[in-house]
Amino acid sequence: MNKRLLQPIILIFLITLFLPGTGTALIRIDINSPGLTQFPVSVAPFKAMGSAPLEKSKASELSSLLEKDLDFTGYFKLINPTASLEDLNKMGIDKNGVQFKAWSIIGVEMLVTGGVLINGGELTLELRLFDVSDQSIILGKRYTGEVDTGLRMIHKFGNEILRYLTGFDGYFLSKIAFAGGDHRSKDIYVMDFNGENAKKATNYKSITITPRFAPSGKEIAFVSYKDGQPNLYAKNLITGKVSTLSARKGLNISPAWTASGTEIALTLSSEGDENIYLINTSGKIIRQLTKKWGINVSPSWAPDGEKMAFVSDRSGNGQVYIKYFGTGDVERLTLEGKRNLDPTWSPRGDRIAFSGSGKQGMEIFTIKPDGSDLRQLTFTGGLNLSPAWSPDGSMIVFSSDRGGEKAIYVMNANGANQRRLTFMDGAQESPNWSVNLE
Amino acid sequence: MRKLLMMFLAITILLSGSVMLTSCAKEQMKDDQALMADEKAKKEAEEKARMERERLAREKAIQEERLKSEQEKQLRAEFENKKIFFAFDSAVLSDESQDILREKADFLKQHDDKKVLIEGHCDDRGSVEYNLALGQRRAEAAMKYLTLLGIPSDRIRTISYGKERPINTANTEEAWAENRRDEFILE
Repeated sequence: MNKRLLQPIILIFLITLFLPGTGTALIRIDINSPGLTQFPVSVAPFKAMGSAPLEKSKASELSSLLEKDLDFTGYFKLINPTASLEDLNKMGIDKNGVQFKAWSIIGVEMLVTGGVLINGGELTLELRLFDVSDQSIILGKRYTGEVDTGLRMIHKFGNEILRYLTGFDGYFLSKIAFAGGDHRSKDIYVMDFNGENAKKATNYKSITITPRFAPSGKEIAFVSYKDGQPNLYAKNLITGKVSTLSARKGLNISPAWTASGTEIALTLSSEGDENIYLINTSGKIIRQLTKKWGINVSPSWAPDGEKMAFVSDRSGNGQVYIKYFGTGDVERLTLEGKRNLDPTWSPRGDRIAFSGSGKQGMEIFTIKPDGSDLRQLTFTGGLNLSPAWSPDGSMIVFSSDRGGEKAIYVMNANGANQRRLTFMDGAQESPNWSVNLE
Repeated sequence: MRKLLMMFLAITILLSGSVMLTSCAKEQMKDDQALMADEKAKKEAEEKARMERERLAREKAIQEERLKSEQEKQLRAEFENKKIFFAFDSAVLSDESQDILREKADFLKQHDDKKVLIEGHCDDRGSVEYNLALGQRRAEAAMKYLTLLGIPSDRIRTISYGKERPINTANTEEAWAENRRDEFILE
């Protein structure tokens, strides 16, 4: 097969070398539990397997990157491998090369080893995850590709580790989009999941806001005033082509892609009141989804596509409602608080995050779709707005002005480990989280 | 002798005659010249007066024009600078807002070649999307009222900027109140 026919520039061959080991049952993390115990894990320094001069530095670079990914999740207590009683220089990378007792004695429960081989321009990375007390292998992978694709390999392995621990793929290959700028102009930016490598995706010298990734992650819908009024557009991130999804008179705002990626719910005001409609990607209205006077905005689909959360002011102030398409019923979800806005349905289907009035300002909350188990996650008294879930439903990204200007923050789904991701001039708002971009 | 005398007389008579004639002519010429001079002066004076009148009239016209365009500018400025404001989370027109809208309707009626763009704005304290929707409702509330006052809807456009274009970016009640507004732009 002609190598050029393979789409990605990177050639990564996944070869599962080892079957998952027997022994202790799979560890499951309950992401909603308020007190998460962290798993003590250690990443042994990766070994240079050949004689290429780059191998040692590449090995060191890649083991650090894996530590960084694992640390981001908040699930792990990373233990410095030099604290173990293992002789790191003599240590091997497979089961026979590890003195497990040297690790269990310092409390490490999971151990990662890695071997780096560079041959010509090709990198081969072998990675293993061990259960230390069981002295067994949990995961083993071998990746091959160009030398500068090492980071992608690390991300893929990290995703596998999270899949093992949580039952869901990790998000290390995902991106976050947001709107950045000031009152003169705003544009859409796209950055890595951890806040690095933010790049401008639009450049209109206008107000361009509220990005939403299509389910494929390859397109972004956004609202822009570039043609004189708030219209809805979609940009293909591969081709760069921008198409107009809706440019009707009045508002064309708050897009929400369906799971198929072929339809979008949005709010239009061209018929008088502000209601939510379903359009196809050619902009044609398929169906009107809400038929009520007043404001109906910010739709968010349940993963099964049979329910939609949205904001309506039909009871006087903005509150979150759920429309059930099976029965056609609309029920109010948020019963407490003056205003509850920006709902977003978890990809796991079991919780809805939203921004609601706190004692002062707006805070991030999550709630079950049946209205029970309301939890407040932020407590700054400022403006914490527009939450969005990671693709595995374990993290929430949002905007907060706790540092002065609005910036993008991330936290675990239970509110733990809140930290800032963007450090740019101006304001950064309305984040949205894509799937892994393989 | 007699012949000489007679010739002398004749010449004298002739001479004096011609002298008389030329002096008459001179007199006549003098009169004519004086007359012409008078006429000329008269004409010049008239011309001057006429030009003065015209100049004064032109100046008056310019002044009036200036005054009118000043007034016009003022009315226009008032139209565009006078905003209407809203309570938190509301698109309801206050009594004061309705008064201001009446003034704007009057202006539009007097200038039926003009159209208006109504911009709806919000303060910072809600979501980006909810505020885009609320701004639209604020703009449309003003539009509906103007149409009730007799302005045809094809002379009115609306646009919402949500919370994207605040006047005052401070985080205070005063600043937020300033931002919850409709603005009116003549087109």
